[in-house]
Amino acid sequence: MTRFRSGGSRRLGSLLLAVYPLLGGCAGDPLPSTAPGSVTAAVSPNIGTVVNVTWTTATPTIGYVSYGTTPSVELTAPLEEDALTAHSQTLLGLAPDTTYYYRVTTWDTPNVTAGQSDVKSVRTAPLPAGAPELTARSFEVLDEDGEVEDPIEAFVLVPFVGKSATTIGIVDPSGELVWYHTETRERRVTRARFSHDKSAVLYSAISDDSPADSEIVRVPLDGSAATHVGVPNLGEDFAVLEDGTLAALVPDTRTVSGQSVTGDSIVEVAPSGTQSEVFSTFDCFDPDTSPGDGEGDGWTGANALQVEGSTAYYLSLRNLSTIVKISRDTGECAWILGDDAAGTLDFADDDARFTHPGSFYADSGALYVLDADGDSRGSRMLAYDLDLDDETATQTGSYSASPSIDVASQGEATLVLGHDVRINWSNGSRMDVVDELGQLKWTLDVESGERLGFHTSFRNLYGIRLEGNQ
Amino acid sequence: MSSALRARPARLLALSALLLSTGLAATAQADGGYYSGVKGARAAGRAGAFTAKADDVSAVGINPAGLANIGTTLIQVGNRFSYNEHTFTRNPTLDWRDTDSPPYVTFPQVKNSAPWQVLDPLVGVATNFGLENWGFAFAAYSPAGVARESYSQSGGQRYMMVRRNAQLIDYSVSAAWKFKDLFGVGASLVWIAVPTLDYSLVVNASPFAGQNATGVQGEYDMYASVHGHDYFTLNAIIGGWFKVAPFLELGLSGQVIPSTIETDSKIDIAPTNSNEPVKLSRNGKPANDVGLSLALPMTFRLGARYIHNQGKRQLFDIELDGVLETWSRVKSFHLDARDLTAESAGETVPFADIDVQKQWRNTLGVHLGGDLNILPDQLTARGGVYYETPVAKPAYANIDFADGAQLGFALGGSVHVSKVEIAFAYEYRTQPTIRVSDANARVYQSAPASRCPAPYTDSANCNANYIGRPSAPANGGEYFAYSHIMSLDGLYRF
Repeated sequence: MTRFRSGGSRRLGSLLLAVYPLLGGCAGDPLPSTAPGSVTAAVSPNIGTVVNVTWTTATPTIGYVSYGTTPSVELTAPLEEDALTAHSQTLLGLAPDTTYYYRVTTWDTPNVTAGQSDVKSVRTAPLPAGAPELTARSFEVLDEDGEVEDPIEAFVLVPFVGKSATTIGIVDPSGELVWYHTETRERRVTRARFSHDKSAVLYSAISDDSPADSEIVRVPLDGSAATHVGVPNLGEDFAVLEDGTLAALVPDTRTVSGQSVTGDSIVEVAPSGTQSEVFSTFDCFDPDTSPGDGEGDGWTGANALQVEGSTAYYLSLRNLSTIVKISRDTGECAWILGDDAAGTLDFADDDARFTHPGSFYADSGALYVLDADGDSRGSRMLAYDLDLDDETATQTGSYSASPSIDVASQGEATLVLGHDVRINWSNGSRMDVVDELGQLKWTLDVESGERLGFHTSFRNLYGIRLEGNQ
Repeated sequence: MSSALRARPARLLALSALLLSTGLAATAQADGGYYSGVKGARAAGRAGAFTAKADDVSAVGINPAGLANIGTTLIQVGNRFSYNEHTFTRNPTLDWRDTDSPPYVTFPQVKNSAPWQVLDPLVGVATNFGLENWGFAFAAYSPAGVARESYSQSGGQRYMMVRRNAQLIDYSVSAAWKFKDLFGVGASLVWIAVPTLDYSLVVNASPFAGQNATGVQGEYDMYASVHGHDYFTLNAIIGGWFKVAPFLELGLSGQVIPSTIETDSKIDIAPTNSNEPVKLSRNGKPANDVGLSLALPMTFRLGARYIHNQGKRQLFDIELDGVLETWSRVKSFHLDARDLTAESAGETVPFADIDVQKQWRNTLGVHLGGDLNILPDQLTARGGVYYETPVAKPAYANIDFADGAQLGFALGGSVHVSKVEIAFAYEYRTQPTIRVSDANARVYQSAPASRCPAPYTDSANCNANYIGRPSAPANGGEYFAYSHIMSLDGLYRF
């Protein structure tokens, strides 16, 4: 039992302390003002689900924002890398029309001192009228060992192509539209990707009326003003290299045997705006020996492009039923897979072959592709192992939607994490994730009927980690 | 002198018995440590303003010259009872085990869980052996202080200290001589025995690059406990007094030998996060002997005492003392690991010396107190106040001792019944709140296996969040301490 109570002793002490200043004493070392000041949050005027938090500190510090839908603020935005006194951090992944609580935590490295603000709140804005209506469902499935597989945690960036406008959106695993930008101009949006520094969303804005005015639009994730890079005659797809260079499909029309033939080329748009052609389908294919089945939409019908690091491109040629790997340095075709005379890889016997490939995921050992024509069950995803030494592609799986969907264009299959595959059914207004056993794990239905453009699957809204190539 | 001894066999017998019993009690129950307050109820009741008065057995440690004024034989037996609260609230910090979003961690206030000190004795005999101008004394006492402090092993203070138990016993033999009632001189020879000096804290024993600092908790945190003793350290106190006028006395004394307690100790190491044993060895053979050294200060006291008489009786006196203590001798508590090697979980690392930084400063205390004789030879009241400058800069504040400025007041009195005087005192002593920012904190988490060398800027081996620091600050926070001290002495003069 403690007979003497601290409070009483402090009162007794206060009598002595009353004379303490007269003795010239110093009761210690005043703590520096380390708490972040002027902490405010504002919803982006352009994106109602984006909140920018700003704060100041008396000394240069690094810090981060904790936030969440309860005062316990269970989520965190990333720690700043550079010590500053004026700070800003963008909160992403927020649900619309929802109150969020937030708190700032700081660290002053030279002074090894932590600071923290009070918990405050901010409310996100409702989604704008015309935003796509989405429904996501997750399904628990078992792996080969009978263990429950990990749930889908990936986000997806995808254009929702409507009749009068296109919403470029980020959808979280629960099907919530957590980031959006609306393209209201009469532009055709086919693809959305992230900038090389992952600070912005890029999307193609193709002007069919005036192809020379086509462009790639850059929308910062923090909701600040959009900018664009002009890419005359921009085709169906573009890719982003590690150094920020953009690679775009553009038509390449040449005269062959006295006839005008429109193939495709890859042009690179340097950050400075300089454009240069690095590849043309005429480099690897001959219209005479590889006529393709294009009818009025060009010879090769390139519709999807990927870049592997900074060394290679992968290109799907719809009309040649072919996917090709291209050396970025030489412009030469490293391999060609498909039912075309120029093919260098063969399908294994009796394996299914894609007729009109949509977008895909490819690396040196695997290929996942959306086969628009499919079979009697409609369009399908086909998976192959690639044996480049043996020059063989061996089918490892396939998946068709139920009920069946016939993809007209823009369909896509990409690798998610591990061996899961995200299948974009485009005009089917649906997206599925299936495991390597072909079990449906997650599905997203666009209830409002928008068509899906080419997507980008990724993890971590902060420090975005792409799943698949750019 | 020998005739005097023969003349008083009963007194000698009593003296011997007292010293024997004191020694036993002190060994078992003595407390000590670095000082707070003063021993002896009469001295304590005057808030330590006793250098000039010094007229009981406690003079052996304050001013032995005063023994010449006792003029008879005095047996004094006393004890201090104290309640010593010491609190610390560590500053919030970030837990960098999560490098992406390190949590902001706050620490609850910790308190000394062993605040009661119930046996803190002073026993002694002073006598002039029948010699008019002489005084002699034998005494045993534990120096005034807080012997034990104990805190949670998981508390915010754990990188500074977890437990301390310092038992010191001073055995003193003193002699004094005076010239008439004009001036006097005296000296005490003091044998300081330290039967127990235990000190424990949590250290960061990680041998890995970048892990020299773990602000909140580390995977390789170890509880390091040192147990030791030092049975013989010699010291001496000399003093004098001078009666300037019938109403004014001056006193002067000093503890003049710069002593250092050097213990023979053992160290035990145990992980705080696992049951993985830690094996200590030296040259391939099991060993855990270490050395711990604590410097003792020299002390100088100067007092001026005014005596107000009414007729032939003293009505009251008031004394002002200044006390200088050379704590600047204490730079650190140094644990000499003597090239020990630690092995745990397959990792073998050198176990470096541990220095708990102190960088203490000399202190100056001012004590004002006096006696008021309410009923002549029956009832005396006394009181006093004091102030002592801080021994440590805030940057070096630590939970192991109340090292800030000390303020206190005391009230006391004596009741005389025949030859017996019962003296009592109550003292309140407080250390005003000390706040230490982590920016200014200079007591760091001990990291004896650190790979981060001075000036601690090697980005390959030093924790990026603590660049320029040997480790994480351990002593940033808020300190407060107070003590309630009761002293009760019985004095028998014959």
